[in-house]
Amino acid sequence: MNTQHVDDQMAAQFERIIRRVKSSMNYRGSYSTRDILGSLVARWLHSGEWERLKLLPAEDRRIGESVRRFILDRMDQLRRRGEHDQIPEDLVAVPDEATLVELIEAAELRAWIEARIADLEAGVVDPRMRIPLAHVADVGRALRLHMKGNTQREIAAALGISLGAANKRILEGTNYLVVLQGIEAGLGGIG
Amino acid sequence: MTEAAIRDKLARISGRPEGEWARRVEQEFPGDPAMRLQALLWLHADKEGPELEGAPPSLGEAADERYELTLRIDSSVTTSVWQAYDRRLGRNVAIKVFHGHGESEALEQVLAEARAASDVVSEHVVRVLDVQVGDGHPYIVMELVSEYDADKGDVMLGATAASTRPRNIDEVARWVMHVARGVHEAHLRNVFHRDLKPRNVLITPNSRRARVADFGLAVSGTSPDASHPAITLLKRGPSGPVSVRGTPEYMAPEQARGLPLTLDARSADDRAVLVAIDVWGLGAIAYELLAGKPPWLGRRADDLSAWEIAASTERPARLDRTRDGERIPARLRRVVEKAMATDPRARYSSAAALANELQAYLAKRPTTQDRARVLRIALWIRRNPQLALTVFLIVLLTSWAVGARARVADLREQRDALDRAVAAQKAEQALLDRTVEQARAALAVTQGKLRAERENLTALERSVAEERAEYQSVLEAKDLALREATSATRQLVEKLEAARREIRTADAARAAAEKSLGEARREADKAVKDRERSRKEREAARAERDALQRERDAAIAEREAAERRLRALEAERTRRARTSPP
Repeated sequence: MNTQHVDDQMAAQFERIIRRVKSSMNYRGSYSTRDILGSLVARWLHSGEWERLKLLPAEDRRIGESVRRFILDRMDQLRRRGEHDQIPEDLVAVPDEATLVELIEAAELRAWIEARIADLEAGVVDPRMRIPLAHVADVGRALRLHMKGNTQREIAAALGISLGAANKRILEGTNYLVVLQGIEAGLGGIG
Repeated sequence: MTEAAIRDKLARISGRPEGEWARRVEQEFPGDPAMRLQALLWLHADKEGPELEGAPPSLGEAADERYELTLRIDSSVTTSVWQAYDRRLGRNVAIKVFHGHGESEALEQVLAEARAASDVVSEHVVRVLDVQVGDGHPYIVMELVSEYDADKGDVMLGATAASTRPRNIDEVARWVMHVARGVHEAHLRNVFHRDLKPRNVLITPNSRRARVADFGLAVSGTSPDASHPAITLLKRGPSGPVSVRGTPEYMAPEQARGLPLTLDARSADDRAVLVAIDVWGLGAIAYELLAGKPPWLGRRADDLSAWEIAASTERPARLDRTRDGERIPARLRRVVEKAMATDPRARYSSAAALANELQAYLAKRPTTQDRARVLRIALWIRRNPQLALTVFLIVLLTSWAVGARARVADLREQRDALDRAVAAQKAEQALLDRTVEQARAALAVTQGKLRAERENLTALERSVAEERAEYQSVLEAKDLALREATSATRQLVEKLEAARREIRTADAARAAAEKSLGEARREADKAVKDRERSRKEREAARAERDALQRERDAAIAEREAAERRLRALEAERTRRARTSPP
């Protein structure tokens, strides 16, 4: 396999995977409506509805309607908790299917990352990973704190390591997640 | 291949230009395509991984020449903040670097934030010095919140309120008061922060003063959110789509439910909405710094996010104690609770009003929430202890002097009263003596009269004895007569009783007689009936007898006729016999 060819073929996929993992690991302190919707979609995903819809043909899934119903149900729950503005059903709008799918993928990826970080915290490294990872549990804890929005300086203090070591743990942990995501995505059979 | 060998190889390759990576990887890991792909992905991830503290991003050629980024201070999803040295002006600054590379939305955000913050001039707001959206990462240059520490001989950086523990409760009130002053200055220039939280407050290291930073979500003009084409989550009536922006853990309830995209910071109504949101944010800062946790926290138990709880009508948990268990003064709690009232109209009408309240709290003056008179007096005493002591002593001495004077006057009055009483008693004694003399004379006269009266009395007694004897005899006579009358009466009574008994006997006899009479009547009636029946029977018998008599008479007549006919026949036959031959 020609190396230049690999660069050309893989560059786009590399960039996509890296950006997706990186953006999913970012701590979102200040929310926008998109973040709110993202969090609702994550909950929708967690409800198992997506697993059910995935069994249907793509044209029959009607993701938007399912998400909209889910949001309305949660709004109803909120209303039952106390006084809340009445929200007529027809006044809840969700974005188009493409955007929703994007949000769903992001939510899935976020859940996947959190599960992998839990593995690392427990000292478990995926056996398909060929590149060795040192200080596995520390890497897991550093990533967990990073996702909670702690600064690298705070992470270093929390783990009792130097700032440089904290940087390295986060970097290696991120690289590990990127490569593992590449394996999950079946990128060129790298697993 | 050992782990160390693999890591050495990767380290060597990453030090080479990116264009050589694929070839180098193929050389280092021949015959292992999966390993090569993993290595390449690792190297690319290494290049584009999270920006690390100590690895400053490029701001563009000109900026890199001017600013030397020396230390990463903070980082967030889209930005990192660096301490930098401005070589041109020879001073330290803070530079907020945006991770994007010139995307229009990011540039718009940078410019909007810079414009909003640069409009505000306040000692409690971090000043914006410059903004750059050219080559490289967009960035904003701000004053560096730092202070020179003479003891350490070094410049010490400020830290966010989120990472600085307040020394005591009053320091929390002081920080929030500073922030409220800065926010009010921003409001006066139609700039509304909308994302107030401890992380956006910087504390100076020595003087411990608070300053507001990060106007990233600020509103400073018309249609503030229209430039952020947020996804429409909810649409409400005529106001159209709403946008939710802010940090869920600190959002005011109405902010969590969404604000119209068309908010106009120059309109009085919209200004009131935005002011109320920032007043809530100030309360939320105080809340977290006191309680050690933000007002809203997602709950795993019922699967609710912080945003959903904020958007509902729940109230944040009551502020009773700090994270260290110290009791939070009720006065401060009431101020924070008013700032965080669910109804925006019930909050302080401005950030300045909240700052004034906190200033009053710190100066131990009554706030508008301290309505109890006792509390207001106690606060005045705490505020002016020496003056209070002086006033107390003056009042005490005055009271004592007034009391002593009153006591002397009272004693004098008592003495005069005693004198008056003695004189009165003397006059009374003289009068009494005269009265005694008069009484003695009167007594002698009376004794003479008494003797005469006694004689009269003796005579009267004699007369009475005589009358009594006479009366006694009359009484005895009357008694005798009475006894006789009584005896006669008794006899009469006995007779009466006997008569009554007789009457009763007669009544009984009469009753018996009446009963007998009744029976006799019934018997008589019966007898009458029997007699009547007998009469009828007798009449019937008589009729029958009469009939029989008539029949007998008829039979007798018939027999007599027959006898006559027989005798006639006999006579005839005799005659015939006589006449006829035998």
